[in-house]
Amino acid sequence: MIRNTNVDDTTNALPFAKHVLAEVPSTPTKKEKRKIYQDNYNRINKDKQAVFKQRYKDENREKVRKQARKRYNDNKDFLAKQTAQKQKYYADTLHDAYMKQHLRKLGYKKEEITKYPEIKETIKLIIKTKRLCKTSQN
Amino acid sequence: MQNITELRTSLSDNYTKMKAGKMGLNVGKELANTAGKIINSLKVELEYNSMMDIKEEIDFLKKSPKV
Repeated sequence: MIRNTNVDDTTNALPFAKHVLAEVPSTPTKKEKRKIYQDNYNRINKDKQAVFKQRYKDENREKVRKQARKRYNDNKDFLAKQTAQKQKYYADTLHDAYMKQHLRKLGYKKEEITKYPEIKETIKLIIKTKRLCKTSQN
Repeated sequence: MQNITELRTSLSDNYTKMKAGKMGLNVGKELANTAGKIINSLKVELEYNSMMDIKEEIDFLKKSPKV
């Protein structure tokens, strides 16, 4: 397979790769050129990258674990905020994940929830109606 | 009301009516509460079936129940 390694020239790029190629600035610096090339290469060779990453993880298990722990500790507040935002969004939009959790709290089994999706939809409508009543009264 | 699909349709109608102001909020709320009670009775039936190991389908959960 011939790879398009020239960053400036996207005309000869493979059709499936054309849409993922980043736009080239009119006069890119050497550093920018290198970054664009690297990004494009990584996007096109995702599978190859996954193999490399997995190999690195296997060889440096302890290091990877430490890095993950450090990343988590450094961004603890941000992650907590993000989780709270996500949960609020799920509750507001009555997302499937939220509904599943809600139904589990009500006492339905996992199999029942998947087997009878109509129950989930009906309860969703009931919640929607109750919320409408609440907001209208206020 | 023969099955859960009909219940859902009627609830949906009620919701749109309430939103448009064609139905009173109290009436809509009560209807939604009643639907909740029906769903709860369904849950009891499901629990009973699983406890007694009954494999029979529940008519109310079928789209076209037996007449």
